[in-house]
Amino acid sequence: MEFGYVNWSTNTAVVDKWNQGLMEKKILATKCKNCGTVFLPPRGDCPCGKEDVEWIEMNPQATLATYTVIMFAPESMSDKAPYVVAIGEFDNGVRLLAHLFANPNDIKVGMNVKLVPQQLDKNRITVKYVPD
Amino acid sequence: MRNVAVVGVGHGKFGKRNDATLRELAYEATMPALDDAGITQEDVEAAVVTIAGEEFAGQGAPSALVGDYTGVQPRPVFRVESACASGTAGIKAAYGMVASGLHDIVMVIGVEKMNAVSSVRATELMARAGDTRWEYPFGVSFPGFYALFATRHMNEYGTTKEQLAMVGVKNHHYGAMNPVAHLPKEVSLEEAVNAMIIAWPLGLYDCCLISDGGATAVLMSEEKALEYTDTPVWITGIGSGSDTMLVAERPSLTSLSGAKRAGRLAYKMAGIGPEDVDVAEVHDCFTIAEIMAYEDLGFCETGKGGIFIEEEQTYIGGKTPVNVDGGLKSKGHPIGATGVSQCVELTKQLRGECGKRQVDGAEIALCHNVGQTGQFANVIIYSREK
Repeated sequence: MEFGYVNWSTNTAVVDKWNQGLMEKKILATKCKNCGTVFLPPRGDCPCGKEDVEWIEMNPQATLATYTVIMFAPESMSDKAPYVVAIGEFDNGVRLLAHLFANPNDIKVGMNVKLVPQQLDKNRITVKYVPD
Repeated sequence: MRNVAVVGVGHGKFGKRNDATLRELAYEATMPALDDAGITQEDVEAAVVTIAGEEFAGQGAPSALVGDYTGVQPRPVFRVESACASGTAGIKAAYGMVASGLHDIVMVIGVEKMNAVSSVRATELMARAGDTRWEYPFGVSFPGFYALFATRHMNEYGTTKEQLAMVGVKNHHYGAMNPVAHLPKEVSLEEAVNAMIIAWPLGLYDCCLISDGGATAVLMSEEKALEYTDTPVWITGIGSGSDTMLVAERPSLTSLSGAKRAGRLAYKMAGIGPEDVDVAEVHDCFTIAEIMAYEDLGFCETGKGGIFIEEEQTYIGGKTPVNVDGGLKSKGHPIGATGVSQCVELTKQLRGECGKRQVDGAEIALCHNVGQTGQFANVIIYSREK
């Protein structure tokens, strides 16, 4: 399974685990067992270097921190424009960037959104925000 | 550490330069810089070449090509890359080599050839500077990232789309007086506000240009500088910083923490404060970036950047004139050349050579150069006094 509309990075164990979570309708993150830092998207290593990370499940509810409507897209996404790119902030303070599926006229910074997995085709999965 | 001065500068014509390849753009900037310094390649001990992406030029290891065509060989040449902050990273590397005593005369050649590819391709190549695993897959263009900052800034501080547009209007006003500018024409506020949207809320006149061009600076030790010129421009402060790769993880969505740090350290090294800056070049890749720079550098209070431009405080005659060469917006932004181009402009400002765009009696100048969306940041203070 590949993550995202486009990419060419190698799938590491961390990405595979994240993708597996999405297929099970879960948003997973990692948390450092030493300093407690939560990583979303997940990292397999914490810069503190003291301990391993463990997997946790996120509450998918977030508030909209900011957004933009991309009208002129990079070449690899030009057939999909326009689309809304947003950053949501979760209850534990972490933020994540993804598309927001909503009418641009109804979008307000601070609104409640929810991060949900979205299967793009049989080999490709991503996440998106929807109004909550 | 020894004192280091800028002694010679050269600037090519920025624009869509279908008449010149990478090597010729570098040559066009370098020959005038050597002339200005009163030296030849024989006197140069090393050259730092700043090019952000070889994908644009279609040339691997491009610093070798630039070194060869500008006659630097057999003296050493190497490339420094920090995305759009490559130019100042190169100046910093050259400064270190001269200040340490390793070399007495080092040249920095900043150059980029971006228009060899289409604008949709260039947008793609720049988007890949975002995290290719986690943020690039959502098709976030470069304007898109800065638009995320703009939306938040508008929401948090009441900054308006008109205030954003005013930055573009100012920079075009000065760019119209700059013969090396890519788009040397005035733009009205109405035109700027109503322009086609690239990434809401940023329109066409909120975004910098995709440019070709080169700029070169010659740095010397104090002893050599005094031998070659009566008007050395001293580098009295350099500060740098970085920021998170993921834009979503930023400590702030209305400020670049690395640029703030760079400013603080540069002021400290130079022993000055923001109120001492007579003229500044800031990285206005997007209008919101210039407004954030006013705040990050302490030219105005946090959140007041929109009002600062509305009051015309960054025009000549205002509190701190900014980008009076047209900035990235009107002069253009050939990525690797930009930090060196800023050095060229400020050197000329401090020498009093800028004609209609001259800030009278400028003694202290500040350059703020940001790479990617803040992942790289350098602030350099240039001064008439050591």
